Amino acid sequence: MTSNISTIRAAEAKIPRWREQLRALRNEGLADDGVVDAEEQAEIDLVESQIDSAQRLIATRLQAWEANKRAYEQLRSGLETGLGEVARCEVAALSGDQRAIADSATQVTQAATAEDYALAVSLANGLTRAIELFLQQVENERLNGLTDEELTEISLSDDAIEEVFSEEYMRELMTMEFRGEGTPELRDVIKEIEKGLSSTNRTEVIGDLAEIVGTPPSAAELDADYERFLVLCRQRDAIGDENNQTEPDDVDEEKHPDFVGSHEQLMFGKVLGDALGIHEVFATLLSPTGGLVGPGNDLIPGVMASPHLSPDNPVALHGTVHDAAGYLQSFHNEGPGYNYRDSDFEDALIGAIDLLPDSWGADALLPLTGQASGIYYWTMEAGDEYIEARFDEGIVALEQALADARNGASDQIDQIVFAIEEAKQDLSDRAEALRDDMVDAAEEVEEDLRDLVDEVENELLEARDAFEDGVDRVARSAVETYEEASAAARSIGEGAMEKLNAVANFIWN
Amino acid sequence: MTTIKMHPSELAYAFSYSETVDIIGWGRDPFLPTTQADGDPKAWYADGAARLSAAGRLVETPDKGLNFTEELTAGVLALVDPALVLLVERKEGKGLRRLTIHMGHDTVLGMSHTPDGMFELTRYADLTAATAACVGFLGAARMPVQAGARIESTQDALKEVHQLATSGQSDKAIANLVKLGASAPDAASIQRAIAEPSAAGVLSLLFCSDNVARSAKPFSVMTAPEDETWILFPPASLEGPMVIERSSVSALTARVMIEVAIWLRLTE
Repeated sequence: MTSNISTIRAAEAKIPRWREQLRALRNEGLADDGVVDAEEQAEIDLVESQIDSAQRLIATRLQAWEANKRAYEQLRSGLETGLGEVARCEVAALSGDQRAIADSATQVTQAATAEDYALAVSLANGLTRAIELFLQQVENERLNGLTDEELTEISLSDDAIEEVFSEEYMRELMTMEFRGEGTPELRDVIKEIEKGLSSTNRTEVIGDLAEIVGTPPSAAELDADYERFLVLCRQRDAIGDENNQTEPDDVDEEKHPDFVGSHEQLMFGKVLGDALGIHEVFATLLSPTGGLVGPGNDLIPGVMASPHLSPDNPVALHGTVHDAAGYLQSFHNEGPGYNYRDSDFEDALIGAIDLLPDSWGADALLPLTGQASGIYYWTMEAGDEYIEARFDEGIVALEQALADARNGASDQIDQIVFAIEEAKQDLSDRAEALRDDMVDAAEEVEEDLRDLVDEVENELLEARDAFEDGVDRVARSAVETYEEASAAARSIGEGAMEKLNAVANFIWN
Repeated sequence: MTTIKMHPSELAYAFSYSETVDIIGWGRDPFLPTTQADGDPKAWYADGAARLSAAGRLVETPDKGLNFTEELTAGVLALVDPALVLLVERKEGKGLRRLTIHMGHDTVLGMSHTPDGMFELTRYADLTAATAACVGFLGAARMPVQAGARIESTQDALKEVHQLATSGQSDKAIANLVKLGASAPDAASIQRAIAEPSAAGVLSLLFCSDNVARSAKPFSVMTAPEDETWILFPPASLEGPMVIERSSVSALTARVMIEVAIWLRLTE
């Protein structure tokens, strides 16, 4: 095994000699008549540029080698734990894979010893995937040995499940493409898998799938995912029964001839697959109609001519992720629920945070904020009733402590809503005064000032107009019965509803 | 601030893509086909799609396929996945008028029902403007609060005051309020605000996740005929005290903004 570092170093060692030769060439040119003529200079320039080019090449190669070395060292430290787990495995059926991994590890070590880190990195990457696959197979063996009841009590979600329900993930999902999506080949393979694979056709079908969507993932990796999919199907059925859920429907292909293997279905599969650690194609089969959002689902073709909304539209995407979150909760008791917070959200709350006093320190509020440690402490100390009393006491104290903040804010809002004309005049006066002071100033400064005044005026007008619109809206709005309004309470949590009713009773009773 | 009117079938069509049927503050019934429309969901959705297309809110391009406009997309997301909803119900005889504000992502959207069966949707620049609209809708007093007044009592004690005030026993109601710490003029004003309000309703801040209102901060808002507004609310749980406080457009708007700011601090 040879290393490219020896070639690089050998080339590097030659540079001083080449420089020496270049100097000799220049001296030779000067020797005859004291002048380097054009022909001699051209020759010197050519050699010099060749040396420079060689130097640059050496530097680039050296950098690459060093980068590979660092990458290898990082990979290597991660490999050790996995290799240890593989070595400890006692599953007889996997002994062949165990030996193959040991051989691969030897090859990686040999490449590193020879300082061929490009090769070492490549081999280590392959080894990492082989170890992951092996460990997944070991885990599949263990899970296959569990009863359905035992499966209902364990989590089969991927460690990354929290990330799946994040804003960032949603954004990435929006632009994702899936290999094979919408092709008849993928649709046929999915239908084959849906029927259930037997020992006679499993290798062939998984191989076909790997050709369509891979590689990576390799056929072996897909096969391990299929094995996990079968375990997940058992868990789905067992937990679904416990939660009184009916089994997910199959796709009605008469109504939706293009849905199987479509972008929409694979998008749903991707969310579920990332949450459960399997390939999206298998994940789609856990809940085949997942991702089928919109009214068209219940419509007979021809009745509604309108085509389906683009699956990348944020509303449809929301529906797809919502579908996946609902499925995870109903059939796997998993998932954080659909609860991401948009970072832009606070932008719309102009001024809300600024209205709080500076002295409002987080430390003083810690026992009130539901911080886990505080809750735990009070639970251990005194039980729920005492906690509630402590909360009430604290929140009432906080509510009173914020009187100054409310008064200050109230003054500001009063200015915004009712003193608009005065404020506008004040701003105009200030603009006028500044303009007078800057008679000689450039026109653009005055323009900026005018823009500023317009901007502030618009902001103030918005709140004033909104208030007036609210007043006028009373006459424009429909009158409903109290019973009609009560039907709207479906999406209000029990505790919240109790509070609403208690306060509303003072108006409607 | 921009306002558009939409037919409920348009909204139903849009909501269906988000796998959402219940809208906080409205439930699902207002978006379902009415019996007069034959109750046929297929025709209802088709009508919604047609109306959206005609209004230029549902557009199709060869490269991007069929899509809602960006404005409608933002509005629908705020409706189906809000972080905060302001639910305002103003008493009208034995019924009520309703305005909701839905805040999600960077959109603040107001929605109310109009007598012709349509929905009026207003996009506000920020929460201050939206809150001002709610307070205007509730008919709160325009005059700023000159002298703050606050009574802290219990739910039971104030229920009794309410019962006395609304059953013609105004003297007893006033006497009870004085016992609770109100000055005589304030007690009389509160009694009138309860018994014969020029405007009354409830403003509720609903803090939401997963399209469910998880916690609520409700305020009863009552304005006496002499244009003096009183709000009644539990600052903490229902087991804690109940407060009556003098308020106004600016004071109530400020209170809402501060409540939201606190909530943001507590949950950030």
